Amino acid sequence: MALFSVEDLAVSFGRGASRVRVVDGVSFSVDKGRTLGIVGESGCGKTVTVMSSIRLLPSPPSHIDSGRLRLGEVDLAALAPKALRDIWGNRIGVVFQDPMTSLNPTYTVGFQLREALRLHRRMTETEAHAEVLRMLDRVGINAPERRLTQYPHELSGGLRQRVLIAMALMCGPELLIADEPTTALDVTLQAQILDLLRSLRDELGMGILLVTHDLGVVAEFCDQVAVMYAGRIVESAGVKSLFASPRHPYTHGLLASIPRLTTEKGARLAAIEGMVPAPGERPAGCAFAQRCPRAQIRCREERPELVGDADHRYACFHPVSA
Amino acid sequence: MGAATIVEARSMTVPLLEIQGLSKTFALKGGRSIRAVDGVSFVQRKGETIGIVGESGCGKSTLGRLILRLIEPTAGDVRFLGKDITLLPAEAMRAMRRHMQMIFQDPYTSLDPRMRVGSLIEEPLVIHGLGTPGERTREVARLLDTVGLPAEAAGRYPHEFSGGQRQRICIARALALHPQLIVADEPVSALDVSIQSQVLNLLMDLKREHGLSYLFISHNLAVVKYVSDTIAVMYLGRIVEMGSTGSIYADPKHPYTQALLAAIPEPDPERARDRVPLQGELPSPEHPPAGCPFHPRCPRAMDRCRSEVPQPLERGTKEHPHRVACHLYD
Repeated sequence: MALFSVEDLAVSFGRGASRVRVVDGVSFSVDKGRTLGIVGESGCGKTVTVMSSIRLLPSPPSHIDSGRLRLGEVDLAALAPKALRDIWGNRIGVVFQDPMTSLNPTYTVGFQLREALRLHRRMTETEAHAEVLRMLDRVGINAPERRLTQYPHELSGGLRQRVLIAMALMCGPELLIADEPTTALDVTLQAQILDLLRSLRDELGMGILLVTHDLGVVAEFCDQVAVMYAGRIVESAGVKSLFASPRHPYTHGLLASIPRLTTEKGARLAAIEGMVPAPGERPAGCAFAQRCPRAQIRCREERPELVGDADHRYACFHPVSA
Repeated sequence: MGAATIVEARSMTVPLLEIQGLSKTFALKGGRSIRAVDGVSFVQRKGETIGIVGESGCGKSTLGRLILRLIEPTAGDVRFLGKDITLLPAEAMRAMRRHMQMIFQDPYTSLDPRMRVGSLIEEPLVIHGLGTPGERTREVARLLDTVGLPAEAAGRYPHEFSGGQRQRICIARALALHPQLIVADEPVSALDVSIQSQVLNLLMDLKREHGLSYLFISHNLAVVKYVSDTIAVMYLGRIVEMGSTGSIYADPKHPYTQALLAAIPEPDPERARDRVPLQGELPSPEHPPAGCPFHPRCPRAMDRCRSEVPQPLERGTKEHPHRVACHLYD
């Protein structure tokens, strides 16, 4: 059974006539000890999907219009706010993109790390202190004692991201949600942080839900991938299958348009012409049809549902051949 | 660029750009200072694209701004088409800037939101007193067409455009004066992948059609490899390795370049990983390490690396120059 499963999630923003559906009919699941990557470009709804799936977005302005959200035996959709807060930070850890704004600048690092343990685990100061040191050491922070009395602005970007990971893992979560955890970091640091997350996942057996725009990070770090476009999952597959034979023309175009180390210098890059439609302006039919080189009349009139087998699914009437 | 073009460029007597010992020290409060760029030297031929790569804080953006004299160097000189521009008075420098333009990373903040796109693109022509109003209007339409935007874009405001389109507007504005050199500082980093390739294709087309040279600054090694003839790798204000693109990627010599290349996540799950992760982070440029600036993170550091600054050594061939500042090659 999946550790975390989301079925038919739909999220809208605003109210009355200006209410706009941002995420529609999204389903996915994360297994224990595995990583699911949700990948897509700005505005595709990947962050809204993931944050809504654990009910972390405030309502209003967001509304969950439908969705079955299960973490193990718990139905997240049915939980009262108090019970949800017990799950956040306890059974679900979250790491956000920007380590500077996710830490409170007015408290020391040590205070913020101990807080989670006091709230969720009801530990004493001494117990919490020892546990914090153990966790900072685990995420590769040297001289952890010294860091405890420092404020977030005194730490480098890499250290701050390690502190956030330590904080997310403090209560031994079953599920880690990481929203662009390395996007603000340089490549050599990104490699360090991804290595760290991978070894923690293997050691603690967590499931990871990773949100990213970077297909390189997906290829390296994820077991399963879901590609989002204009609020829907357009393709989902195991990582090798997706990169070896992308079926949706959008996935295919994305993979072709990235300059790689193996791309010949100055050779023309494949480009996806046009732009992503804004949430209020998504067309009937397939949202990618207006940019798609394979689109036919049917694509503009009817919305394709996900088809294929359990290992590789795609929402397209005219998929790229495998 | 093919071998023939390189030979042709060599035969021209005057290089586009010659930089010698360029340095910039920023003063901080309390008498402290940061040496952001430290003794950078290189030559750029006409039509050549040089990629400057390195991580945050390595000094690559400062270097770009020094070359255009948007900030004044502490030491060293910049020669543009044989003329030392470091000593030019303000008026003469403004005239010289016609030939050297810059494109910035963030297309959202580099366009005045109160000006229409047409006026934004026309502005450099007005400043330099070029053309009549009618000629300038026609030129704006031509430039919009060159960068793939419709003529009616001239009457609209920047906020009506997406990030990729705004970067096209910035490129049109940079092209207005027919520059020979464009310093592009992370020009596609803020753009989504599908839009990034559109803008890269445009930059490559413009290079071919207008004989432009780019100084292309980026943290993305795959993008830099795609656009550049020559690559310079910077670390803590210095160029640690520089050579032809082919030779840098096929045979990276400096341990930092090797680590940087190994750290790139390639969109290929089948690729074998043989990464030696680099430990630690870039030290503060306020307190650079003694000796080789990279030695505290270097997996191959030796005793002399801790005390002696490595000088650039030529380790390439006549056809493919490749210099590296590392004691391993001494």
